[in-house]
Amino acid sequence: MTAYIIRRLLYAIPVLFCIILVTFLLARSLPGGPFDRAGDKTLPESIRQNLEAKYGLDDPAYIQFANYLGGIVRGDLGPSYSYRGRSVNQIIKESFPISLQLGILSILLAVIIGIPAGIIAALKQNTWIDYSSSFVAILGVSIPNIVLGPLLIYVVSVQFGWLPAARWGANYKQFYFGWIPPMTKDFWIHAILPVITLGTAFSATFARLTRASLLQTIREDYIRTARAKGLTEYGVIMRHAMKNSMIPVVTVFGPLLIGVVTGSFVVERIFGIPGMGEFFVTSITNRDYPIVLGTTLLYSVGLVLANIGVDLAYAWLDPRIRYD
Amino acid sequence: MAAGTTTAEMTSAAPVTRRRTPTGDAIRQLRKNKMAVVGLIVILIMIFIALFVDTSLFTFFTGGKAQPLIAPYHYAEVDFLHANAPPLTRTEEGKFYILGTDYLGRDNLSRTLYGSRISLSVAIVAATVSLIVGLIYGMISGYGSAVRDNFMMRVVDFLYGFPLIIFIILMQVYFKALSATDDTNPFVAWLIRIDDAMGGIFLVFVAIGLLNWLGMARIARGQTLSFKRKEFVEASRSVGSNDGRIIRKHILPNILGPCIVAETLAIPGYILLESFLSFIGLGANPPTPSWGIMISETYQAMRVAPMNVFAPAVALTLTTLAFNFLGDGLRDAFDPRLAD
Repeated sequence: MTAYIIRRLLYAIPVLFCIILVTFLLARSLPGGPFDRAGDKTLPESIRQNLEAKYGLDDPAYIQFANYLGGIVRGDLGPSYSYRGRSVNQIIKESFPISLQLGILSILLAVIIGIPAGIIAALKQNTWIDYSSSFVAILGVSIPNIVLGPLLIYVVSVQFGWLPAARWGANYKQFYFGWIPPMTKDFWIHAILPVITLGTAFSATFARLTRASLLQTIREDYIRTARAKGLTEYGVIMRHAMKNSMIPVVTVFGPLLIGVVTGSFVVERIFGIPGMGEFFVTSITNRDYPIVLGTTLLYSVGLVLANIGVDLAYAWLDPRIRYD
Repeated sequence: MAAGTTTAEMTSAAPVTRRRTPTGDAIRQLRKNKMAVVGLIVILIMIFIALFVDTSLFTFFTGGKAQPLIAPYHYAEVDFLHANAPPLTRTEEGKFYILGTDYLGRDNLSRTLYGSRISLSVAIVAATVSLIVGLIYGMISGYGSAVRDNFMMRVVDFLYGFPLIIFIILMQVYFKALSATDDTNPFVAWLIRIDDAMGGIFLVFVAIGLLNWLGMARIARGQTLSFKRKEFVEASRSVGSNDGRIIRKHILPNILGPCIVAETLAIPGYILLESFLSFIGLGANPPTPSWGIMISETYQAMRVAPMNVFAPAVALTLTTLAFNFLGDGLRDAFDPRLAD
C-alpha cells in the first residue's frame, strides 16, 4: 500500500508540471500585461519597462519559467503584481484557509444531510417519504448557486434580518494552525448562508446516489443471508449494506471537489468573502500572473491528492480492490 | 414502431396485439413518468419561445431587422425614465412592463424570454459536441487493440487530473481580450467574428465541449468493449463484415441509447456552467441577455428591485429542473438496470 501511495505521488509530479506549463503559457499569451495601467490611467512606456524589468518580465519566457520553477522548489510563489508589496504566499496564506473552511463545511453539510436522507429514502422506498425526499433532492440539484445565494440573502438577510448578508466572520490571524477557524458566534453567523448555498447541490447529489446505490445493495444475496441469520434491520443496513453502497458515493468525490472550487468562485463573489476563488478570478483580469499560477497550482495539488484519497477509500470499502 | 403488426407475430403470440420493441417499451415507461412528461413539455415550450421570441427565424431567410414576436419589447430597448420599475408598471407612453424593468429600464420579461435562446443553445450545442467527440474517442479506444485502448484511456485519466474549469476560465479571458484587440492572425480573427456574431457565446460552447467529452468517452468505451465481444458481432464478422461496417451497423446503434441518456443527464450541468461563466463576466457579451448575466448585473440591488433577479432565477431553475426530470425519466426508462 505504501509503495502504491508513493508511486501515485510520483506520477503526480509530471501532471503538476504540465499544469504549471500550460497555465504559464496560457497566462503569458493573454493580451495585455500587468503594468498597462495604474488605476484608470495608462502608464508611461519607460515606467512600464522599468517595472517589467524589476519583476523579470523582460527576460525570455523560458528563463522566466525556469525561475518560477526554481521558486516553487524553494516554496516561493513569487511577488504579486497588483497587490504591491505582498507576496503570493502571503495572499494564499490569508485567503486559502477561508476557501478551505467554506469548502469543508459545505461537504460536511452535504454528508450530514445527504447520506441519511438517501438511506431513509431507500429504506422507505415508494412511500411518501421517499417521493418527497427524492423531489427535494432533484430540486436541490437543479437550483444553481447563483440563484440560491441571492434568494437566501433576500429572504434571510434583507426581509428578516436574521443573518449578515456578506463577509466572513474570521480572518487568518485568528485561525488555529493557520486554517482552523475560531468557533465564535461571529464566524458561524457569517458562515451559515454561504455554506448552505454551496452545500445544497452536493447534499442533493449525495442523497440521490446513496438512495440508488443502497437500493441495489439491499437486493444482494449476502443481505438476504444476513437477514436470514436473524440480524436486526439496523445491523443489516449498518454492518452489511452501508459500506458496500458507499462505493458509488465515493466515486463522485473527485468531480465534487471540482464543483466546490467552481462554486466557491461564485459563492465568494455573492457573499463578498475574501477567499482564494475571488482572488483567482480578479487576478486573471489584472494579469497578475503569479497569483493565477499559484492558485492554479494549489487547486491542482488539492485535486490530485483528493483523487489519490478516493482510490485509497475504494480499497478500504471494497477489499476485493487491491493495489500493489 | 408499435403499429406495424404482421400475421406471423399475431399467430406466435395471440393475446399480444401490438409488437413490442425495447424502444417502444421505454417510451411507454417514459410516458408513465409524470414528472418526466412535465419536464419534456416545459422544454418544448421553451424551445418554442426561443424560436419565436422575435422574428429572426423569418428574417434570417427574408432579410431585414428582427422584430419582437412573443417578447413585448426588444431585449436592449432602454427606458431610463422607468429604470427599476416594479412589476405591472404602465407608463405614460403606453408601455406595460409585466415583470418590471432593470437598472437601465429594460423590460425584464422580454430579457428573460430572450435569455432562453442562450441557455437552450448551450444545452443543444454542448451536448452534441460532447456526444460526438466522446463517442468517436470512446469507440476508437474501446474497439482497437489493448495497447491503443490503454494509451487512450491514460490520456483521459491524465486530463481528468487537470482542473479544466480553470483552463476554461483562462481561455475565456484569452478570447475576450483578443476580441478587444485587432489580431492579424486570420484564424483568430475568424473565431472572433463568429463569436461576436453569436453574442459572445460561441467560445463558451467550445469551452464546454472541451471540458465535457471525457466522461462520455469513458462511457462509450465501456459500452464498445462489452458489445464488441457479443455473438452477433462475431457472427457479422464471420460473414465478412469489415470493422467499419461492424461499428456502423452493430456497435453504434447499440451504444447510442445509453450514451444519449448519459448526455441528457449532463445537460443541466452545461446550462449551469454557462450561467456561471456569464455570472463572473466571462460568458455572453452585454447586452445579450443571458440569465447568468442578468442575475450578476442586478443581485446587488435586490433590495430595490427583487424582480430583476427573480425573473431570470426562476427561468434558470425551471430549465435545469425540467432537464433533470427528463434525464431521470429517460434513464429509468431506457436503462432498467438503473431503475429501481
